[in-house]
This record gives sequence, C-alpha cells and structure tokens, in this order.
Amino acid sequence: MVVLRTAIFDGPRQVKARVGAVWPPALMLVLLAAFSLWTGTATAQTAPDRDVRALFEIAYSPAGEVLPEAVLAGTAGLTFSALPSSSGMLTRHRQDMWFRGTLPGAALTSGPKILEIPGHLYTRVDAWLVTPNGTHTHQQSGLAFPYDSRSVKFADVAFLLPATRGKPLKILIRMKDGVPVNFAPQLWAEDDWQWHVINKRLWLGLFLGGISLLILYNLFFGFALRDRSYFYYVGYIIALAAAVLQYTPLPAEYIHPQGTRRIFILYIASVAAFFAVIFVNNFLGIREKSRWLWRLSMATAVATLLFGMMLALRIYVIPAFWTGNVMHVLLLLSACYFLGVSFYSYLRGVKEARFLALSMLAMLSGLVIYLAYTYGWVAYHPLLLHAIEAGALAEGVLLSLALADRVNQIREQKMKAEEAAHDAQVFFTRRLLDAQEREREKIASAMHDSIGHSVLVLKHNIASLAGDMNGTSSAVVLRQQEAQLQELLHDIRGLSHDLHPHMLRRLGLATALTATVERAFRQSEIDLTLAIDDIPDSFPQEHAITLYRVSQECINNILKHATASEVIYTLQTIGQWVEVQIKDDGSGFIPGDEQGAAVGTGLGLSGMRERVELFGGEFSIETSPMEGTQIRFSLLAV
Amino acid sequence: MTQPNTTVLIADDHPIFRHGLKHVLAQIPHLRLVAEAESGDSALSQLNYLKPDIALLDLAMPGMDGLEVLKRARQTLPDLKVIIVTSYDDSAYLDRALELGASAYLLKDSATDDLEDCLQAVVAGETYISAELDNRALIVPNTDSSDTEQLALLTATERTVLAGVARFYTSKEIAREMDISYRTVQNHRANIAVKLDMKGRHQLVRFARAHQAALEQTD
Repeated sequence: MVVLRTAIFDGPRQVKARVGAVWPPALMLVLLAAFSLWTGTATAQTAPDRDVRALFEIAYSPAGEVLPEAVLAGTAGLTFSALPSSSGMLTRHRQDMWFRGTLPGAALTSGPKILEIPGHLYTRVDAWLVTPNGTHTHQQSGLAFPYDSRSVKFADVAFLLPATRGKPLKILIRMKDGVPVNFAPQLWAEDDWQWHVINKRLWLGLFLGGISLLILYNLFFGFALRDRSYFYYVGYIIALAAAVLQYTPLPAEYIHPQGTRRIFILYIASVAAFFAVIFVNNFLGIREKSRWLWRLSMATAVATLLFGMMLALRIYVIPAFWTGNVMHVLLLLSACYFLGVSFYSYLRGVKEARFLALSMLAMLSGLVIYLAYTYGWVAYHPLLLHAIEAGALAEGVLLSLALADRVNQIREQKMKAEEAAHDAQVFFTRRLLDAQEREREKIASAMHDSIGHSVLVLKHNIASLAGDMNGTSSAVVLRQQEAQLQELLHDIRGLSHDLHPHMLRRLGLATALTATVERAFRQSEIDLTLAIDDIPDSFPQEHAITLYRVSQECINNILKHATASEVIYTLQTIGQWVEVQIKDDGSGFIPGDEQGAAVGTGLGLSGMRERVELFGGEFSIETSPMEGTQIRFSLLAV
Repeated sequence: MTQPNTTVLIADDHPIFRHGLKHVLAQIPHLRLVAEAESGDSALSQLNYLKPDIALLDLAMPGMDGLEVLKRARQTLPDLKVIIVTSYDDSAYLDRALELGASAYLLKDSATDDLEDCLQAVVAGETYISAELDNRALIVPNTDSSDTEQLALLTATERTVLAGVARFYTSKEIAREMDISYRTVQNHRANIAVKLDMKGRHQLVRFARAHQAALEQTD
C-alpha cells in the first residue's frame, strides 16, 4: 500500500483547474460588433442634400502645366464635362484634375459650412472659393499640407466655406496626384460636422483601445507561456494598427503636424507583412513541415521589409514608380501566403488554423471594401472608409482567438493524456489491490486450515497422550504443551482473520462487519454502539472489501490512539450510497498532524481516503483535539 | 441409544481430520459411514445420491463451502440432519448455520471428545452447540408489540437521552447537548435499559431508532 499511495491521484484536481482562454477575445468580438454598430449608425446618418457631387464638373490638364488663375479666369482652354453618375474612378495618368462647381446660395445662408472630400490618400488638394463680388480665397488640404495650417481639423481633405448671405459660391478644386480618386464632396453644417468628428474619434478610440487590450492580453500570455508566437503576433498587430492609423487624421494631429508622405504607409505595412509571415510560420510550424516553403516565405518577408525600408529612406534600386508597385505585389503575396497556408493547414486537419484563415479573410475584406470606394467601384458611404480599421481590429481579435484556441487545444490534448494515464493508474491500482486481497485470502485460508488443522491434530494427540499418562509428571508437562498449542492455534486463527476476513465472502459484509467490530472491542473498555443497515445485494465485492478494510483501519486507530470511552459505528444505506460513520469521544487530533502517528501503521488517513476515492467513494473526517473524531465515508451501492 | 444403521457422510478437505472423525465414528455402534467427500461439490452430489441420515460438513472447503452445501441440501433433502464441524468459533457462523437449519455446530477443537454426545443429540432430534459457543447464543431482540407502553415508562429526560441515542450521539455529545454530566447520561442509559428490559447497547440503539419519530416529538 505504501507504494500505491505515492501521488497518484493529482489528476482530477488538474481537471478542475481548467480555465478557458478563448472567452476574453470572444467577448471583445461581441463588444466590438455592438459598439461599431452604434458608432456606425451614428456616423451613417446621411442628410440627403449633403452629397454635392452632382453640382461639380471635371476637366483634365497635363500635370503642372495649367495655372489656377487661368482656370479661374476661364482662359486655360479647359473643357469641363459632367461627372459620371455616383461613382467611378476619375484618375488619369500624369494629369491634374480640376473640379468646378457652384454651391447655391440657399445652401450657404446659415453660418459657415464645411466641404469635405472623403478619402485618405490625397496628398495635395487646392481649393479656390470665388465670392459673388469676384474676390477669391485659396485653401489647401491633404496629407502633405501641414495639419496646423488646415482650415478644418480632423479631416483628410476639407475646406471651410464662408456664409454668403444667400448668394451662390463658386468653387474650383485641383487634385494633383496620380492616386485613385473617387470624388464625393460632402457639404456639412457645422453642428453635424462636430458630431461627425466626435463619432470618428469615438470609433478610433475603440480601435486603439481594442488593439491595446489585445497587445496586453497576448503579451501576458507570451510571457506566461514562453511562446514566441505571441510576440510575433504583438509585432504584427502593432505594425498593422500603425499602418491602419496612417489612413486616419490621428498621426497628422499628434505625430507629424507638418505633413507626411503617403509612401510611409507602405513601409509600416511591410513591417506588418514581415511579422505576419513569421507569425503564421511559427504558429503552424511551417519550418518543420516544409523547409523550402519556409525559406521562400521568409525570403519574401525579408524582401518586403527591405523594400519598405528603402521606400522610407528614399533609396531606389529600381525606378521610384515601380518601387511602389513592387511593394504592393509583395504585400499582396504575404497576405495570400498567410491565407493560403492557413487554409491548407486547416484542410489538412490543423484545427487551430481555422481562426488564422478567418482573420486574414476579415482583414482582406476590410481592405477590399475600402478600396472599392477609393477606386470608385461603389458610391460614397461614411462606413466604407472605416472598413479598413474594422478589418484590422477583427483580424487582431481573430488571431488572438487562434492563439487562445491553440492553448485550449494543447491543454485539451494534455488533459486527455493525463486522464488516460490517471485511468490507467486507477485500473492498475485496483487490479493490484484485488490481487493483494486474493493473495491474502489464499495465505489466510492456508494458515487457518492447513497449519491450523495440523496444530489441532497435534493438540489432540498430545491431549490423548496426556490422558494415557494421567497421574505422572510427564502428563503435567504434556498438559502445558497442550495449552501452548491452544494458544498457538488462537494466534494462527487471529492472524488469519486479520489477513483476510473469511466471513466476508461466506456471510456477507453486514455480518462480517458486525463480527469484526464486536470482536475488536470485546477486550476493550470502550462502549460500542453498532447499527448496521441492510446492504443492497448490488453492492460490489471490491467496494465491500474497501469498506471492510477502511472500517478495520478506523477501529484499529481508535483502539491504538484515541483513548475513547465510547464508539458509535453506523452503516446506513442512503439512496444509491452505503455510508459508514465512525464516531468516538476520544482525544481527537489536529487534522493534518496525524501523519507522524500513523506512519507504518496500516493505511493511515490519507491511505484510507485514497482507497475510498479509488472506488469513486467519498471520505471526510471531522476532528479536533479533545473533541473526538468522526470519520464518514461512503461508496456507491451499484 | 442410536437407531440401528444410521448412515453418515463426512465432508472435510483435510484427510488427517477426516481420519480422526472416522476413528471416533467407528467406535459408536449402529453408525455406518457411507461416504467421504473432499469438497463441497462432491459432498452435495453424494448426499443427493446416497441420501444419508446425517452429514458432517466442514465449513471451509474449497469451492462450495459447508454453509452453501447445507443451504442447497435443505431444498432437496428435508430429512437430512446436518452437523457443521468447524474451527471457526465466531457466533456469526453459528447464527447462520442455525438459520439455514443445521442441527448442530461442533467446534473442531473439541470435536473428538464431543462427537458422540453431539450425534446422540442430533439423532434424538435435538440441537447441539459446542459448549464454548453455547453461552454466546443468539439474543433474540425484544420485539414486543407493547413498544408504545414501554416508551411511556420513560421519564422526559430519559426520552431526550434516548432521542440522542437514536441520532447516534455519543454520551459525551448528549451530555453537552443537555447540559448535564457524562455520568448522569450513563446512568440514564442504564436505567432505560433496565426499564425496557434490554441487554446490551445494540438493542437500545435499535429500539431508539425504531421509535425515533415518537422520541423527537416528545422532545
């Protein structure tokens, strides 16, 4: 038994300590959806007359060759034509775009208004406002124009229109770049504009808060689990968030109010792509699975990073125009690689890859939605421009889910293995106990019958010899020998009974228990109260032996240590359980302190508990010094 | 004395002991040993085939034990008289053997001396139990119908004590609960036992459990 007791039963406790790591990111996903719905609907309250695209005409001129004054004076020889209906890509290669329109006086009666041209990529946009008396003012906007000098803050491109007291206002807008242009000017009343800005800030706050939470959450796990995947994830998410933020007014407001270069986005995106590839390779163990794929992907990732860096440092090994395009291709390649390898892994049975594929899909969907507006495939809607942030945030959450999911999967596998090992150990221990009982039974019956009988016969022989020699001194000696043999017989039978309760199989548990408990206390001064219920026939034999052995141990402990004057032993059948309660009014002990006393004497308290729990039973003990001891244990009757 | 030609079967897995019994039997007139068995199974089949008057069955035998043989033989051979011969002096075995209809319970320690007396008693239709065990004979619990009257004999304090007994409280616990001394509780218990005419604590508990509801009511 001593060997059996060595820390076998830690299994169930670990099973109980199971904690799900998936729920925090999952909860975040729900909150994100709810919150974005709220800010989204608030932002999306479009007034029907806000879109003033229909009031504008468009004309093109070779890049940089036509001066605005000439256009304003009408001497530039440009031919303006109506804009295509509601969407459409307007950019032409190496040409400046001119938009000309007249806002009706009715729109400008009450206070100043804001003319916004939604879109993140415009670097330089000029506007000339011509008042009815012929004077014109010039305003500038766009990424390259210093934020501090813009007339309208927290907008990509926006101009402040003066009140004209009911008179119409002519506007000329020039866009100089070759970036894609979907021209959808919005005319905002000042109050509406303020709300619009507040909603945008709220949304960006949600985005940044969410990203920060994800970073902290995964950093924590990274340090806790010493898993590099988490750090790659954090690197990826930081770079991704930084890239996405370039599409918002935030960097201009806080980091570079003097204006920035559009190309900077690509550099940050290249860092994101680099981390994304390392992350997915690490997460899916690509290096171990396919060496060449790993090398190829890493080479692409490094190339992307180098190209991005060269763009940022204005080092051009290939023509500047191509650098951007190559960069785009590389970024696209990284995304495709990420998506492809995740999908493939998932199809090949790597369950953890499902969230990876989903996350990249979310990110790309956001990007596609955003580009659909930017390239003029769909008409303007305020939510379209935020799809990219939503996509990035969704990707962050889903990747975090993937990591948490992986931890769960690993934990589940580990737990299954532990459970199997635990089951095997329980099975083995039971078998061992069973074998031990059988062995003891064999020895006990051999002692009782073979040895016992021989001694009995010997005693009879000596008794009859003594009878024959009655009256002689030898007879006295023989009577003494006979008495010694009787004692020996008694010892053998006692030993045999202790080794195995012979009554258990023949007379049943209740009778055997009654006999054993009564026999144990017969010689002592202790008052015994015994109440044993009927035990159902379904009570398994191995439970019966366990119950008997643990009872025996309790009684031995009481006789040896408790100095009790009264003991109450009850066995009750309660529903499906057979419950034993052994109560004494003895000295008791400090729970946990009894080990020293019990070492080497049978099972000990922990041994009793283990033996009961091994067969699915329950064991409890209540005791304190001078308060007696109450041990209660129960085993299932089926 | 014994009727002429009483037939006997001996079942014991120990040849030396069987030999000893045979030796004693041979000296008793009108007794005829018709069969010997080394196991329970062999004993049962020979009993059914030879239908002896008396069977001497060892309690512990390989395979089917003596009690099992007794139980099965009872069903087919109502006239068979069974003597359990064993070295187990536990009264539990004695109780079970008598319950199953054994005519005698003979301890091996004194078997050679007592066998003749035992056989005579059994043939005469009496029950024989080895002297070592006889004084521990089963105490039949007092199951009078006048239980409620018996309850009325008790004082209120004694009932409270008995209610505690029914709840498996130790005397110390009862004393603490009632705020009286341990000795007083012990005295009450002794008085209750006398009034109810009960021997031993088990009967007291059994009685208390049986009337727990009534006791709790008067509490």
